[in-house]
Amino acid sequence: MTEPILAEGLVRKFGDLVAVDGIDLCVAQGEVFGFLGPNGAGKSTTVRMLTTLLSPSAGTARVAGYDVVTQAAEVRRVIGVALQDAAIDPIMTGRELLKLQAVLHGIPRRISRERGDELLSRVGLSAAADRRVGTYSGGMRRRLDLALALIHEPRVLFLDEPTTGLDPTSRMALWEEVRRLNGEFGTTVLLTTQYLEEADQLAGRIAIIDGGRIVRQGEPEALKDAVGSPTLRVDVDPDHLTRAAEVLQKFGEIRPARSGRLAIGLEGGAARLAEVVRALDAAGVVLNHMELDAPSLDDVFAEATGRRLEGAEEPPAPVEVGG
Amino acid sequence: MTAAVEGLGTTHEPSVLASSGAVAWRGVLRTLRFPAIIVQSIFFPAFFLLVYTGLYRAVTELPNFPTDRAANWYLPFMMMQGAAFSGVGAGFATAVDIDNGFFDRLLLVPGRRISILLGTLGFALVRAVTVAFLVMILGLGLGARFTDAPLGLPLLFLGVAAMSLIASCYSLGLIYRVKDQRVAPMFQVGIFVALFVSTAQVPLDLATGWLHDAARFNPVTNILRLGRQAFLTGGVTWTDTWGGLVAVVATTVVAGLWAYTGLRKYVD
Repeated sequence: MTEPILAEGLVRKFGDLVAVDGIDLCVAQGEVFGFLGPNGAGKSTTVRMLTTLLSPSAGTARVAGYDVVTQAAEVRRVIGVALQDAAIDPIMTGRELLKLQAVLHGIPRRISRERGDELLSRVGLSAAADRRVGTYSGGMRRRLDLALALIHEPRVLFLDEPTTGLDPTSRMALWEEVRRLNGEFGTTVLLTTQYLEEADQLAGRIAIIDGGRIVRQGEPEALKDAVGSPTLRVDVDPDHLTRAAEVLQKFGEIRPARSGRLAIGLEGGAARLAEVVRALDAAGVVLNHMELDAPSLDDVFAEATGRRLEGAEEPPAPVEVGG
Repeated sequence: MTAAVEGLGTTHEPSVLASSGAVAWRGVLRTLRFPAIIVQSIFFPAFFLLVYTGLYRAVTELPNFPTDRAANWYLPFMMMQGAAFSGVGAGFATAVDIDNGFFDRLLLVPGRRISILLGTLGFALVRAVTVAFLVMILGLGLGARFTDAPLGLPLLFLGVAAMSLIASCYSLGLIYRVKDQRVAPMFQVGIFVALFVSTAQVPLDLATGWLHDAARFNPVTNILRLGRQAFLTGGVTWTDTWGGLVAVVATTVVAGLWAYTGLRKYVD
């Protein structure tokens, strides 16, 4: 079977700036593929090339078997796209936008009405369907955006940072809908995100992109396992940072950490925590906070790039020591 | 080479006519919801018409002036100005669509992308004809009188349509290339210069110096000459018609190419 998304050596330059620098991608049928990276990493530029909104400077890409440059119209026929910022005309109503989208996709009027009603119901917007979109909340706009992307029942769905700026409830609702689309209809989804949790929750495989290049690619668990030891993060008195670093590096390799903190890959895991605390105490280091986490995608990103992912959410359930 | 997957998607490529119609329908809907969109196009021609017919009444006393009514002279120009400003409105609307991302949504539909341009032009044309008609009613109220309506009126509205298309294509070509709302003031600057460096104020024979030379080569002069025949002494003549027809066709084609190539460049 043809891979829904296949890219080889994809490059996009804007003048001297290389936004995407030789990306290879292969997304399998029915897969939810996460494209994870910080702002400006090249995620959206890649999506724009794959959805025919931007021509590649070099390389090739095929979506559903169609070349994105020479068969762009065919590509657009089989994809659904929800871009960043939910580009929706605020003067029109939700139902009018669905109708417009249906006409532009060549869907007969009777079918488009039925499908529009069904989609509005599915995304929970039936009651607001005849209200102008300008009155919608951010979450409602995103859900309408998703409905618009689905009106023609696409086989490949591109979601470009679909939950950026959404409250947790709206984010969860959108995740549920993506899972349902993938589970019930087998829709292949390429999802870009800067949220680690989102990639972890939704994607069967992810690619981590930084500086226009894919730095890691694979299943989230496999990528995390490859990092190895869990990460120990400590917060010490600022005057004791150097001394603490000298002590900690005896227990594992130093890892990137946010400003004012230290992190190491703790060899031996949780069993050595007490030993670390004793060593720090013996060195006279005042310990404010300590947490030990299993490797996360943030650790994968940090291990690959040498820095933490912008916007990375704090990992849950820390082990706290002191105040 | 990987074979394309057959049978994907449930839609057919819509016809250019259907897609263009949908884009134009959105423009009509937006105008009905937000009438301020059209007010500017009507306000300025109507205001200038009131001022010019009041202030410059004596212009008709110049030797060989082709009408004895100031409103007859200024009305066709104001109708075309309204049409041009309506056309520029297409550029403004597209600039907003580009800025808020809606233009990407239009680019993502499967039909031929020229439908976006044709739909936008179609709506601009409807709006221009509406504006021109309203300005014409005002002009008739201010004393303008037809001298050759049966032949002149169609030619006048042909000029109106041409000015709308030229202004639309000019502004669209610009915004497609620059992709930034900040270029929008250039829409009006370009159209303003094209309109006023012509026979907007006085006939070519009465213009002097650089204005005479510039107006002579400005295609707007010939389009105005074509449209004014409905109101000027002597009515419609072939002498005043053919140059206008050439200007309409040539300028519309050039402007259309400017817009179309701009749209193609947009995704490059």
